[in-house]
Amino acid sequence: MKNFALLNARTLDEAVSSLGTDWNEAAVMSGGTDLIGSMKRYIQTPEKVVNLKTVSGLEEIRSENENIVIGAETKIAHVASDSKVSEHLTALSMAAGNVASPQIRNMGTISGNICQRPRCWYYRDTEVPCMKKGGIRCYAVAGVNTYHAIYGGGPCHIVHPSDTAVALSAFDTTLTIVDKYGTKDVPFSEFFVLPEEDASRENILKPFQVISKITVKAPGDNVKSTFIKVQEREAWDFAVASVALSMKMEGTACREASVILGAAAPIPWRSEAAENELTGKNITETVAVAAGRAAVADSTPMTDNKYKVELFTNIVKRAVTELV
Amino acid sequence: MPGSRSDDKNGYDGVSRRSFLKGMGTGVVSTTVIPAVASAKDKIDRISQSSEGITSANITLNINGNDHRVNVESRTTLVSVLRNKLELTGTKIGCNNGECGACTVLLDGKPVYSCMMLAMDAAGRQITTIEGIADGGELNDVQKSFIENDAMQCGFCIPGQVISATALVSEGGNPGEKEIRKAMSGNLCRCGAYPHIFKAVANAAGKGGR
Amino acid sequence: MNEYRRFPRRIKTVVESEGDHHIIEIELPEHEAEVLPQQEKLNVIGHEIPRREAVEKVTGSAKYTGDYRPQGLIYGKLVRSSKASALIREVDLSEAEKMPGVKAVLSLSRDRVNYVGDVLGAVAAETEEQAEDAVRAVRVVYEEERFVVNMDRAMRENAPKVLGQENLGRPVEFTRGDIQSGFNQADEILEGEFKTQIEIHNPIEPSTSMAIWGADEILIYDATQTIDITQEWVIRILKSIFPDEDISDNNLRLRMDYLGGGFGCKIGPCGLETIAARLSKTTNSPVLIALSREENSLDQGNRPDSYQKLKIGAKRTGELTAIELEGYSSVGAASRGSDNLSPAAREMYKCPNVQLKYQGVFLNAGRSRACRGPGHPQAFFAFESLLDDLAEKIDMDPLDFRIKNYAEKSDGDTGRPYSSKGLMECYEKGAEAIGWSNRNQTAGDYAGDKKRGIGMSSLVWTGGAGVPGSVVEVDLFKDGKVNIRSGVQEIGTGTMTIMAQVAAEDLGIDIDDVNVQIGDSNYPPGCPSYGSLATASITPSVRNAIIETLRKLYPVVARRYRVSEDKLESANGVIRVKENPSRGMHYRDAIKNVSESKITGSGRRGPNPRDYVGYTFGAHFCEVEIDIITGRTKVLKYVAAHDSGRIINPLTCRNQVHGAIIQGIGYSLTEQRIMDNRTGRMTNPNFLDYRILPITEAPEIDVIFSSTIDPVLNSLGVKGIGEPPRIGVAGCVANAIYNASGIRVTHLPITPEKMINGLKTRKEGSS
Repeated sequence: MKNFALLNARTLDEAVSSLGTDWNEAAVMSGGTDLIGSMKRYIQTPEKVVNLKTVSGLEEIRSENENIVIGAETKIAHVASDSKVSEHLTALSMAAGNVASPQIRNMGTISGNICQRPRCWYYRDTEVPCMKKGGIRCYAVAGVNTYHAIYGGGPCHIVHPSDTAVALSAFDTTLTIVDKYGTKDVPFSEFFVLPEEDASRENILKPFQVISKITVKAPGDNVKSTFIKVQEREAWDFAVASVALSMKMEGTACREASVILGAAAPIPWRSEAAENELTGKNITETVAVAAGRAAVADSTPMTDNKYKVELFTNIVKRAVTELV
Repeated sequence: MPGSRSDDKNGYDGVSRRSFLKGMGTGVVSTTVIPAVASAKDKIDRISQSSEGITSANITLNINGNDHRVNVESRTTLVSVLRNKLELTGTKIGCNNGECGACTVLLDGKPVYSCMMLAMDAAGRQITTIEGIADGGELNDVQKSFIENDAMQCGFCIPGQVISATALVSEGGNPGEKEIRKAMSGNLCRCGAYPHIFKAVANAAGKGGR
Repeated sequence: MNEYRRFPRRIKTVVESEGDHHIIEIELPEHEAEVLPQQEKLNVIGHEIPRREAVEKVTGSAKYTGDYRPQGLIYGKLVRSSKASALIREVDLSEAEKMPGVKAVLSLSRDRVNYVGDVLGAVAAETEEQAEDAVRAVRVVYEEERFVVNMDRAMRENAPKVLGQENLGRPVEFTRGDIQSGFNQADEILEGEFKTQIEIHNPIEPSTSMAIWGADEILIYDATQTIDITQEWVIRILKSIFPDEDISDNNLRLRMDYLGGGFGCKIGPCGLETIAARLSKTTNSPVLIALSREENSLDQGNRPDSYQKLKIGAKRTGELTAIELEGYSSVGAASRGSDNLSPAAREMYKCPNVQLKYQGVFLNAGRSRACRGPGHPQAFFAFESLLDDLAEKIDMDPLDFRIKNYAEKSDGDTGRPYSSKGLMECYEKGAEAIGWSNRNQTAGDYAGDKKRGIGMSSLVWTGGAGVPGSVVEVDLFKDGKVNIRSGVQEIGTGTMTIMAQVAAEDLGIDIDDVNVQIGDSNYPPGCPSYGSLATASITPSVRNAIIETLRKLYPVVARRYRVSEDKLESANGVIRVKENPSRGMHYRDAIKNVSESKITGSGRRGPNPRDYVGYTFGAHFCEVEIDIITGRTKVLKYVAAHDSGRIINPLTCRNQVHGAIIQGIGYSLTEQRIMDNRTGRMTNPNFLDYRILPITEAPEIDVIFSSTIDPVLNSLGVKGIGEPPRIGVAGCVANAIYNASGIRVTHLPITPEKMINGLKTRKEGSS
């Protein structure tokens, strides 16, 4: 790892005023498990690292009016074990509880988890000058793309690695972003960007911005949610495919649905087609199957990941069936 | 978790009164390190006020109840300090990338990967390594159970396994099979001694632990 | 010169090593210990005794090679190729040399590199971080050449020639009987193509060496499975580099207290020993080199992959009539032979007509190395899979089919008799433990989203008899305590503990009175820790050494009972008159009558019997559950029934069986090296994408040891256990998956991807 200047910010003001306008000038460190890994592999070599762990007041989960507010520095383990989260935001609790390993959950934070860089093995190899690192080519296209995108890919074909981002996308979630000019709230759905917009980043954060909190509107009692993650091992693994589903129910009828696919696309991928199959329907096995099919109807798999199409069909169906 | 850290949260101003007294009480100060002076507000704290940050500094790490004063670079990981500067080599490096668990230590009582943590970030926290996991001079219940159940083969991952198991057992309660497996899932054992490790942890947890 | 290296009374004997057989000359022991009684319960041997180093291991005080911190220690790091194939135009170390803390730089003067990770040079610096900085400051000018990193492409006609010759190595061929007439006799013939992946050994301790080049001694701490072999090689290499230096086993000492796993990748030198030694000589400081996980993945060996075309013929009544195998395994950028793909086809079952041919394929990638049961897991995955399909075809129970072709003698019932074979007992007990009769009578005939099925595999490890030659030295002290000493390794199998058990048994003392000293080339030569040979090699040596040492007290006892020494014998530490065993005294009493403070003696292990083949056997059974929604397979229960002769310590032995099975499940379901054709680089040289199993994936494992005690191999009746339980797993899991789902996966690992694709094909086929 290249050495850097560490700045232990005490306040958000201090943090944002220490950041620069270039990614290589300063990096934000939250839990650090992703950043340190990237720095060890020389994928990121910032001159300065601004530590948010030392900012007080960012590690909390509280109820505020109808909302559940999660401080940016809240540990993933805390999110997973919090009773408000498990009661109202079940999918998020499930997603957080299955991130990586207990040690990572004790170190990693919720904001770090949603801002982590992709796990594409071409991106993670310093010697491969891929598009995300400023090169001209996505090596996954002609390479081994078993774990790559079936939606939203091109020109770069990563999948977004975060489980909690998938779960948060299934709710009415707002991010609070802070920079030296002030504070703004951004709907979670507007946070992520596709590679066609900017292949070098996964979200709209600028080098001089940090997330301060995540606000989730607590859904009513008639809303239920779940999260399913397919992984080759029950620990450590990033999702091969995942789905977060929330449904507002009236008896057996679904009034509203959110279907978010994880590890499907470079961002958490909302499937409106699947949502449409569910909304206004009496949820039956047939409806669940239809939602599963709809979820992948216009996907564009690559050479090695056609199985993901089947996988998403299956897990969307299972999520729907399990929820009712 | 909020409130669980020691009072000197920023971590760099020497040692807290509490940990200082504790260190004095045990009277154990490794000869390889210089004990911290409680009154000195140290260098790193002052420099970090500027927006430039610091590239190296003297910090105080509280390890197994003793304060250790070390000079580190910003990039220096906790495991590097433990093994190379303090010669606490019970903590192992298997992957150096947060993917195996051999470097697991307790940070304020919770298992973390010391290879993925900057030493500077550990300053002012309570660090427990395998060398300090025993109860005083006596092996803890987890260690005893690992021995009785032959929960090890080559042993290289075992310090990390014992740390994770001790954290689980210390929580009390009566963890079921799934909870034990989940709590131990961040520690790889290539020898595959898992059935015996599982048994050892279950037995230790069943005793109520400490 | 280590005095035990002289072999005055020599005899030729056959030894097996990692599946290969060699004839070597060995020295005969002076006296052989009596064969231990078969049935009688022994005092220490056969008891579950926690390993003696357990306290050190749970407190972190056990020292591994990377844990020593001598005064002035500096850290070495290697400069490696980032290209898969290139001519080296320049290695510019000048910038690196000027970096902070750098003490030495070293160029290996390579003119070409053949794989990513190939070593070009090294640096040494005061801290690990500085050494890494210096490596990054080295400028290498490559002239890149075409490369090939996957076997299918390397076998193409226009493939780049990895070693400047054809990419196919010399084939190994074997023929028994007449293959054509064998197939003519068959009622059913099945053919199949099977692929297995490259497995990385990945011990959690990466390869590590530390060298201290002193005036009187070159001391090397090394993570090695073979202290003696590695020492020999290191001396040879260093002598070639420093012809004027006096380097021999008089002054080059290799040490290792504990080894953090090996599984084959730490056999012989890892390459770091001599580099650390050179850096230490230059800098006059101790130098430690510990590899990163990535380096270990690229450059410390692997189990080669395989492509096997297999054809088996059988009569409707179940007799095998012919077996034909054509196999390939990629061995990396080294002129190595293929792994031995023959054992299932040639050895396991009675079959008169067999024809085999297999060969290595060269690649621009790190070389293959022996990996736990070399060749065997690959061979048994293919063979046992096709055998199950054939059983279905002739409508015979797979277990009955195997029993029908039970071989009483080696070489498919055509060779020398086995020293012992307890496999029938393993079949019976294993089948009962798994509930064999509960398996799906029709494959895939299991309702619901989670399909369950049961499968099995036989296995033979074509070794396990141990090797002669290892020497043990014994000190008997006046207080009755004992040292036993040999240059063997503690790799995690509990070698020290079983040595102590055997010594305590034969000396009639408490095991805590036995001190075991190992891990030093200054000790008498031990045996390697590989090939499932350590137990059957070293424990007979312990026994013979005790005999020889006790004989030094015979004069005392002979005087006491007024008999000549040749009338005496020893048993459980008592030296007694053969014809009147009540007249005797324990060595603790005898030793009081000698003037020396201790009595030291040594003994060595004798040859293996000529007329028998000493192999180990087992039968594996498992139950799996496949989630057809996610494609994920979980092994729920595993039964491993083994004939490994007498089990000295069931506690540590069972542990080893567990581990082999869990590794084998990883090999079956998740582990694989993935090479990128465009960049020539490994995509997954880490633990995240190379998936070793965590505890969540460990099934319930039932270990059964057969009652066999080998009557002829050695005085304890022991055989090896390390590799055998790795061998049957992939075939067993694949057969259970077939039984559960009706899907025959012929390409390891059996990932969700393959199951989802298989399920889809099956669904489409049936609708």
